[in-house]
Amino acid sequence: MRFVPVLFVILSGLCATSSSAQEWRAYMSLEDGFRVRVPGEFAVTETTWDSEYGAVMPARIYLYEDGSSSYKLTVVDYTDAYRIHAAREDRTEADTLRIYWEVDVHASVVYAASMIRQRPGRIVFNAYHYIGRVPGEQIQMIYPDESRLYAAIYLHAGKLYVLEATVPPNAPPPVVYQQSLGWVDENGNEIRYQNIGDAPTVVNKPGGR
Amino acid sequence: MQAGVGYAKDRLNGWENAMRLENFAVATATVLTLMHSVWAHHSSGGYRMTEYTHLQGRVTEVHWVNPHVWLYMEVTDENGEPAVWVLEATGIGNLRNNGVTEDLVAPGTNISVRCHRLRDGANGCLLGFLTPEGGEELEWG
Repeated sequence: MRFVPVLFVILSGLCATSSSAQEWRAYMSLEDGFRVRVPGEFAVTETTWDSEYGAVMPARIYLYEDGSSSYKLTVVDYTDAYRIHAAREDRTEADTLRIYWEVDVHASVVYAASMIRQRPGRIVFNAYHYIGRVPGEQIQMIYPDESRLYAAIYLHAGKLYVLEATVPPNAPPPVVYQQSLGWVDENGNEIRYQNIGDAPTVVNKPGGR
Repeated sequence: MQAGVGYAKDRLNGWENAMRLENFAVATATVLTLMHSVWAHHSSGGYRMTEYTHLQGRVTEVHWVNPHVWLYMEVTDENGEPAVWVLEATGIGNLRNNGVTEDLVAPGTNISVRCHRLRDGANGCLLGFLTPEGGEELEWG
């Protein structure tokens, strides 16, 4: 068994209570396979994402903004990466379809992280991270206006998750949002893998590889 | 006599079965507890896990939820200014195993904690241990 549905965690979470100044709520997307705690209602927008290796992937942005605070989760769908790369007309001989469509998926976490690191500001923390045994990366930085960014990036089952929270100076760090991300299956059951490395990364390989 | 032996055997079998059931229940609970503990929801690498930070203050918010319980506490800093800290605890199941109940830390409760501060220097901390005013220190990590 590659993953362990931990229904009791969901159930105990639903039965749990919270006394909070903010209206924190548990948000779950069956379509994009995640759940997260956010202090408001997400607005969901369909968009696209320019991948590192020249493809345009479908993506969805979940966004909640409250004054100068924002909570954003970008989910990039690489599950159809092979077909999308195959349809590209700008590939050269060097950019062979045989390997680079898959490299594009594996590279997506590092690529997304590099784009965040290029923003103006200073990085105060950047390290490997995992959630539910799905590996990724955390980046925390302070922008020139002293607002703080808490970001985390993961690749799970062909989808890239770029989670970002920005809060004003002197606000508590948005670690509740950053660290509450989790994975759910199509029925809403929580997924936690037993080992780091068990989680699927690239899916829908041609020939069923 | 024979019937008595049979009765004794039946009673013994019943007792053995009860013991087996109890042992099974204890073993299952232990395994589930260990599984929950081993299956830490996420890496705690963002915290300074090799050192404790000591804080005292007043609870302002309690998020009694899984996979992690969160507390917000107001701490008076060295300049006499209030600052809000976010404290991350383990999940509800582990807390209950440690003897922690939600009513220990209602908003307004004064507490002191030993926790691992965020490595980026922000006001966030991984519990650790928590002592409610006038109460005993319990493990919240």
